[in-house]
Amino acid sequence: MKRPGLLTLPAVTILGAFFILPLIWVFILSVLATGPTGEVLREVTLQHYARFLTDSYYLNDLLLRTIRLAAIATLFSVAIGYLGAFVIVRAPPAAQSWMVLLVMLPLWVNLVVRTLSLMVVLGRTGPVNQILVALGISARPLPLLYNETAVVIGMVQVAVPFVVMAIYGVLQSIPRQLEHAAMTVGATPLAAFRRVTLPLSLPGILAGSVLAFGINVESFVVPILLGGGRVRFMSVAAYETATVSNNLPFAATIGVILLVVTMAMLALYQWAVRSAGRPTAVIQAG
Amino acid sequence: MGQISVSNITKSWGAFTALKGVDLDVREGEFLSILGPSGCGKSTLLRIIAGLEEPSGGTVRIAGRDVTLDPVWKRRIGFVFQNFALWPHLTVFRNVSMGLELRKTPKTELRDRVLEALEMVQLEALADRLPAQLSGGQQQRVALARAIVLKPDVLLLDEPLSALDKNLRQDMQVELKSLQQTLGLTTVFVTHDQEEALSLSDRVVVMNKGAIEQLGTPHAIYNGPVSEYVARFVGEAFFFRGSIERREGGSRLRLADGSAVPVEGDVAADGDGLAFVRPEWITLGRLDPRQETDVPRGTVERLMFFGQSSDYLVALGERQMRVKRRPDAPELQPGDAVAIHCTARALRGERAAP
Repeated sequence: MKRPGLLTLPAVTILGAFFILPLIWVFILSVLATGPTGEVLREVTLQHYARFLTDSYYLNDLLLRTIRLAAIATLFSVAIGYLGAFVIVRAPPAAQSWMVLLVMLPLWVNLVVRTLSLMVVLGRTGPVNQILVALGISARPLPLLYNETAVVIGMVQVAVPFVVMAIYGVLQSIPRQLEHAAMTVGATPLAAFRRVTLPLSLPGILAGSVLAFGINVESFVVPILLGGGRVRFMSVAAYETATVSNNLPFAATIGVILLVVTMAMLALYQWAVRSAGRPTAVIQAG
Repeated sequence: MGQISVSNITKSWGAFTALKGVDLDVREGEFLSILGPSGCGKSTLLRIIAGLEEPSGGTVRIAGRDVTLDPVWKRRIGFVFQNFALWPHLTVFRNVSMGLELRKTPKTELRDRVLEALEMVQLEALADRLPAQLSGGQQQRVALARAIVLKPDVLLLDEPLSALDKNLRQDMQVELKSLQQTLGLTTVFVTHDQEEALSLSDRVVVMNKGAIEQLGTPHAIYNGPVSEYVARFVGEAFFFRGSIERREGGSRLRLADGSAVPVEGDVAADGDGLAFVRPEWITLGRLDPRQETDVPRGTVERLMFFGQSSDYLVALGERQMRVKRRPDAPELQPGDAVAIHCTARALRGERAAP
């Protein structure tokens, strides 16, 4: 093959036609004015951005909540995912592929179906509430649905398999012997984990959390179903603005703001983790 | 009782028995090698001494203390892994200092001791490097510094030189030995390389299938192996089998082709016997059929040149024998018929096929 660049052509074409072009269109849409009946005018304006950024409803109730819930869900996803990946890596090799399969299993089930079944589980008469009441932890069923907790639980459920796979890959590449070496110089298993395995798995944690945050922040099915319309979320708001309010440009603005803020946060996060993870040799100077 | 005292150690995984009741005493300050082919249990034994592996039975004592039930991190050992196992995210300095950090050593003392250890392995200039920026030999030294900085009761080395290429390996052997002598460290060194074991050790243990076959000085192991297995493993050996003939002035082994070889050592009373020779014990002479009627005969096949020395390959019937060429002896050509003069060393024990 003389020109391996040709091989990327299908990917570039598909991404260009179905991702880049629509994205550019969304950007253009977001700076066009809206007519009184919702028609898009040929008039460049920043009024939609001004409207979003000056209204505390959009800023606090929508944007901040979306980011906050996605961040909380990411935190839980990474913690749970790390534990899962760790358990798989330390399992006998024969069991590992089965456990990986088990983690991937939920991805074979449609997201709507999974989220609807979560509604049954979290409902007033669902198994979670029944157990809580039966064990006497709570006197009566807790409201687990149609609130932020429900949305976070839903997002964690979606993101965990991805986090497990991201961290599993990295953990698997760390030789067990590195921990043993730490134990030979006096580290307890916990200290060996903290000083060797944990810092070496940082790239996996980074990849997993970026993945989880990206998935969570654009969540759509989960906030609609588990939030029941009461938990405002960026993607849902954009959808409703476009369909119910028939205001395409403002819907595009919501989308662009979500995209820009998310990318800025991920960039900041990557930079922070990278610089924290850099090896230090400062003690010597002291 | 030695600095390390291992008694009746067994280890099995399911139906597989890796160690069958090993007893071993390592003296204080001694350099002891455990030699054997892969799968003989030598690494398992070392890992049990270190606490990285749990024995199925038996006890391990280090510096007079029973440590059988102690986990690795409570034993005062230094361990060097075959592939070094340096922590890739930490600098050379931090790799060496971690053990001291874990012991909450005061900052200035920690710094002094780490630099002292790095100086011993001549790496003080590279303290700020990451392991990936070092050569194999340098990584090996970091691993060594990491082990000795804690002033351990014993130093345990698991084939530490086998990942290095030949020249570097020889340099490291010299350094390792002088470091061990300077510090007076009790050292157990696992290797499958017989030359390495012979040149470095005060004593050598030869292991076979989970048991100790022979324990002795390098000299005793090489010149007086107790079995065919040891003779074969510890160096080049050619085996003669035949029937023992006792007579005045020494015994001889009568071979199937009618020739006879003088034997010494632990000669069986009579009957079938087995004896071996090393390449440098043999003198080749031009065959004079009138004089030498019952000396084993062979034909020179070729000369193998190694630089500092060379070997003749001599055919004896179907088999080949290696003979070290003596610099003062006349040169032989391929095809020359030769008389083989040597005194073989008798072996007792198993009668495996040659």
